[in-house]
Amino acid sequence: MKNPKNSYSDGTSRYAERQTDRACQNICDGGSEDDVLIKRCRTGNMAAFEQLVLKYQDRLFNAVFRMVGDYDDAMELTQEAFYRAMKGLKKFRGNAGFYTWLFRIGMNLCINHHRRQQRIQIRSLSGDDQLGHQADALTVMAKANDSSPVYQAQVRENHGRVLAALEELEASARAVVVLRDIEELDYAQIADILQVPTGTVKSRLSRARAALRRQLLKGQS
Amino acid sequence: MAKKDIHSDKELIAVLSAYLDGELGPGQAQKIERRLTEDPRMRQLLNELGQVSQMVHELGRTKAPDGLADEVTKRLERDLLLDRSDVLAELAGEKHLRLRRFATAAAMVMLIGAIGTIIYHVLSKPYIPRPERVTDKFVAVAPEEPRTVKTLKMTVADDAAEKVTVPVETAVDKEIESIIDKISEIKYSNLRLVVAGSDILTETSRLEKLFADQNIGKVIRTQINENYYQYAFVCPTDQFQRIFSGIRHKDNQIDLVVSDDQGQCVVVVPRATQQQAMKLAGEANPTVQLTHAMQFAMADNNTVLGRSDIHAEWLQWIAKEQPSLDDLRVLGGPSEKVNEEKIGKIYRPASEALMASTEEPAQSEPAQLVAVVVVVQPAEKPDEDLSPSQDNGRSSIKSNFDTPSIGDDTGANLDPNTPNSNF
Repeated sequence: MKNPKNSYSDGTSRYAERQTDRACQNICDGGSEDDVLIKRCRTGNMAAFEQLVLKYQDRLFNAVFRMVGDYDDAMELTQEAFYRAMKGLKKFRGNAGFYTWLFRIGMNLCINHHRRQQRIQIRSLSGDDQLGHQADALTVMAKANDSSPVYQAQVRENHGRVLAALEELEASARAVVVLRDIEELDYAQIADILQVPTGTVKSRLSRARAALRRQLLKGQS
Repeated sequence: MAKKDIHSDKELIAVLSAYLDGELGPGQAQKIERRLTEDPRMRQLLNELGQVSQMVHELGRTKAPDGLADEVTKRLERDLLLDRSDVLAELAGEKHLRLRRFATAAAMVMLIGAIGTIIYHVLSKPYIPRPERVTDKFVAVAPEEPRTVKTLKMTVADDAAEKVTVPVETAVDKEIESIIDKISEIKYSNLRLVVAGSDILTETSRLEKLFADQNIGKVIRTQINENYYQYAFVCPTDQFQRIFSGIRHKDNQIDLVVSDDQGQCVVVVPRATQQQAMKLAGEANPTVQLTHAMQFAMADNNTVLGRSDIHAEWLQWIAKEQPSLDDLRVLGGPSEKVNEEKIGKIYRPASEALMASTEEPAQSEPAQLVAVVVVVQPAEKPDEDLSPSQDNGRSSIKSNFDTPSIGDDTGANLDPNTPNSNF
């Protein structure tokens, strides 16, 4: 398995720092703006709420989509998360950012959804129903990398394997991976969203990565 | 040993994963970096973990479907329309909702209080039927529909024992009857005023203004024809006093007409004074009222005596003896001796009866009602064929009873010698 960005073998900590700084910067930039919008929402301003939805819908939807693996379910759960966020604005104290609070709702919905799905066992992260939407994301990436068809095929294969490996994870472990490696949040933020101690985030993440590594190595062999 | 390796791998992966994410402290990170330079297996493991993280990261981002924001907004708006107040509450804010709830509760309390007060007042008061006289609204009823006209032949005797037959036309108006029915349970007197004015329109307008000024709640106006107007209303005696005073002026004269229960005996008091009017208005007993009227008529030397078969003897006795009220013995005529108790019970005026039962009769006596009918008609021109004394008496009779007949042959009953034929 060759990583095209394999240039941080000797500078991993600096890479990690950049990722964390970027995530923090994103959240900090939106903080004051979110406060104003939330204030307006509390007075019944629907336009302000719509602005909040537009601001965070892509990030939340993507995270939810990676969690549940089904496009329609992801759309439904994302809508539900925004709806509940709006209903629960009174409970929002502003101790954490709106983004954190919104993701907490979204992740809880996903975990509950995953539990229900486990009972009926009908979903598959790498199922055929995901191929269309997953292909869209891959096409965007391929164009961005300006790679050859062989590379694109390899990337597509890798993504299929990653999705399959993610499917094997517990919902709580998957949430940690999604929030860290996709949403690029630090441990403290993940702990805040999932409402668990930072140590739990650390252990869950290491277990999840180990499991993914096993799955991916197994597939490679 | 294998178990120990696995355990070691788990610990190592945890440390490397945290190192990869930059979550180790500076000291721990330096230790890891030193070991990485020494341990190729550790470097391999770190590399693999980094690749796993990178592969997950490279899954890419899938944009939210178009219209997601619209869907959420629509759902919220739908909730608002369906009045799911929990959403409204969050939107509007708790303080606002509290105010709204408080306002609603206050409105409910006020409404319940108002309803309770109304019910209390309605139920707590005893039912006392009384005529409507609340507003100053003047109710006019046009006389479009034909009326029932009752014609009464009456024999009138004057001092010279001259007998004339006078037709009496009494317009029985249903609306007047309805007013009277309403107060049937209350003691009231009937009185008819005939106002002869030189200008009918001026007279009627003055009259109507007077009713409005005196706050007569309901007046029924009947226009017999272009020259005759009739007004019917009910009022207390004190109010009647003011009305009578207002009607009476130098340009007109007021004749009072009193009849008995059956309308068979009618007495006219021409050019009545206010004192006479009040005396008649204050007497609810028709027979006593009639007696008063006859006294007034005889005192004015306008001998106008009503006579009926029933009371013929009695009326003659009245005319002859002119008894005072205290000596009045009506029942059965003058020849019959009626004990005092019976007279007092039946014929004693209300004021006297009250005096007998209470210490302070004048102040505590309830206001008596008068059912008044005012007839406005043109002042009569002097009849050259009649002597002054005859003219006085007859003109008064005529002015009171000579209202035009409506669809009736009342003219056939007129004595050709009476001025009635002039109409």
